[in-house]
Parts: sequence; structure tokens; C-alpha cells
Amino acid sequence: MLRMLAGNFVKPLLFFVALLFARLVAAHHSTAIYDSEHPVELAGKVVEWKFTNPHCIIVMDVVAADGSVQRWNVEGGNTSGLFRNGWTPQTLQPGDEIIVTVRPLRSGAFGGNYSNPRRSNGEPVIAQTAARGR
Amino acid sequence: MPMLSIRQHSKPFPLLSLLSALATACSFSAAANAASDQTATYPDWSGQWERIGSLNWPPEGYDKAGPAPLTPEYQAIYEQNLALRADGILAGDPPATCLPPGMPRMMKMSFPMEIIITPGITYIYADWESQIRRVYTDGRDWPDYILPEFNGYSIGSWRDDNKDGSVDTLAIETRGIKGPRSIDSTGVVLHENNETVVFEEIHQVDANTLENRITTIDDAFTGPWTINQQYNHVTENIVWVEYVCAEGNRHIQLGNEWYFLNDELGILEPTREGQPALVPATP
Repeated sequence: MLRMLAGNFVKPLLFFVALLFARLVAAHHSTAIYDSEHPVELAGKVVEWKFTNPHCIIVMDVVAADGSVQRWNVEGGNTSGLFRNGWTPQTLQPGDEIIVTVRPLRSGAFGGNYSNPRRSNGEPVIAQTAARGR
Repeated sequence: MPMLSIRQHSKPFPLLSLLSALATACSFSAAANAASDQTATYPDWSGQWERIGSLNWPPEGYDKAGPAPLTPEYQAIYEQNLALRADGILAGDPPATCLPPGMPRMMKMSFPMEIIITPGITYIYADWESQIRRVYTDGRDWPDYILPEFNGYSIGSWRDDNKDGSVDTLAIETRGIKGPRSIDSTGVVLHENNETVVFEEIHQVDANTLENRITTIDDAFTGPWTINQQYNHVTENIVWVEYVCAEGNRHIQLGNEWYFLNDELGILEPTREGQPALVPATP
């Protein structure tokens, strides 16, 4: 019973979060050049958070399975959408440990398009109550 | 009919000209005669307007509206663009490299819009790319030569459709539009001859909703393509955010090759499988 309740609650919530993020990232250009078929979960440390357009960019270091450090450049939402939802240039700081879902470049280079940014404990980076503007 | 006389300034495309005239003659016959009225009472469209509906050109999305009415030639180009994208090349979406969306795509309003009405010019500001359109409502005729620009050259006129003594509808014709342009981000591009003509009729449908009936005439399409794009009124806690695309753009096109800028390493990363990175030669 509990499991059913949790399922009923979580699924719409996840759908809402997915919709919200889709709205944030969709504006600038098609993301069809990224490999949506093979998304990767990247956990790593923020090197730089660039609050810029057309996309805000996270530069992050990810330790690969072989121990080497991969430096990824991933782009996501834009300043307009993110600022309205509570993000600022100070939201991510160097050293912050985060997890993002990345649709990578098809070339294998360490770049791509990110979604669903989380703190390393799984919490959202910004609570949705922080929205400003309408 | 000054609004339709511009044909003499551009290469004719007779079938579409005829369709254009038929589709719009009724609604624009009054507009053609409307000189600037310095005493008109204009609607209050201040505040912020944000897009309602899909980022696909049809507000209800292609899933419901059906595919774009492309000619066989441009259907083939669309399909080629999809194939290139699957290979890592961002074909058919010029704003991906920071070109402005131009007309009519800018009226999709990926980001919010502001409308500033003055007696002779109505300014339409789009937060995306911080673009501005000037719609001349001072009764002018088309200039002898229109310098092509992404947002085109727009002549408008105000109408009092509900006959209450105050104008309520802004009718606009836009020509002289520069390319390359796409209708949206899905790979549907406008014809490379850049002879697009766009007719718009903007009016408020209720207290919170503005509607723009946009008819696009372009040789990539089998006929005039009309959508009713609506915008929701934002009146409180309005936020505008500057948009400078060059600041963080990562997508670089060199000829037919696309790259992803890695400014930390000072190289252009490949976007497709088997493509080498572009690394500057060291002196």
C-alpha cells in the first residue's frame, strides 16, 4: 500500500519536474545533435559555472573508472529561464559536488547537453520555491 | 493598394502572389488606406507577453497540427537536415550559431515579448537575442529599396474591428527578410530566395491573451501557412533578462563542419563520429 502511494505520488512529481526542465532548456536550438539514445549520469566537481547565453555552462571534473579525470563542458538552460527559477551566477561554486544527466556529443568528446542537475545527495540544486518573477 | 504594391521591388512568384492577394486582400484593404492617426486611442499592451503553446511553429505542435506544408524540394531538404542531425551536425537551425531567428520565427517568442506602441511606430521587443522590430504605422509606402534584414521591413496599420471608436487590431505586412532562416528548431527551413512575405494581425482576445494571426508566404511551402499564436499577459513581477548569444555560444560552423568550442583547451571539439578536433597550430 505504502509503495503504491509512493508510486502514485512520485510519478506525477517526476513528470512535472521533467516538464519544467524541458521548458527551461528548449528555447535556443534543437538538441538533436546530441546522443539522446545514450545519456550518461555524470557525478563530479564543479570547476566553473558560466551563467551565459545561449546556454549556461557547467565545466566539471569527472573521475573515470580508470582513475583519470575527465573535464566536461556541458550546456543546459539559458539565463532567462534559469534566473526566473531562482538560479544566479553564484548558484554553483567551484568544488561543488553535483550529478547531471548528459546527452553527450556523438564524437565522444567530453561535451554535451545536461539536464536534471542535482547535489551529490540527490537534492535539487535550487528549490522550486525560489522562483522569481512570475 | 500600397500594401500589395511591393511586388515591383522583388522577384515575382506569381502563384503565391495571387494566393497572397486573395488571402489578405479583404483584411488589408482598410489597412492600406490607414495613415497615421495621431489622435487614435491605442490598446494597452504594456507589460510582458509570453508564448502559449509549443515551440513548434504550429502552437498545438506538429503532432496535432500535422507536418509543415513543404514543397517536395524543401521536404527533401528537411529530411536531409534530420539525417545530418543524427550524425552530429546541427543543420537547419541558424540560431544555433547565434544568428537571430528573424521573421516570422521571432514572433514565436521563445522568450517573452514587450510591445511599445507610439503613434507612428510600434516596437516589438523579443527577449530572445534582445531583438527589436519596428512596425511603421505612420502611413508610409514601401521604400524604393529595402535593405534585407533578418527582421525585415514592416508596415502596419491599426484597425477598429469591433467598431467601438478605438483601434484594437494591428495589421502588419513584412518584406525584405534576410536569411538563412528556419521556421522553428525542427529543421524546417525557409526558401533560400528569401522572398518571404509575412502578414500578421495582432489583437487581444481577452484580458490576459494576445493573439497574432501569422500568415507566412514562402516558396518552401505549398501555399500560405497561417497559425494563430497566442501570448499570455504578465503584469506583475516582470523580469527581463539580457541575452547576448556570443557570450557563451559553443556551436561553431566552419563550412559544412560543425564543432563544439572548448575554450579551456582552446580547441574545437568534434561533434560527429570520426571527425578530428580542430587544434590551432602552435607558432
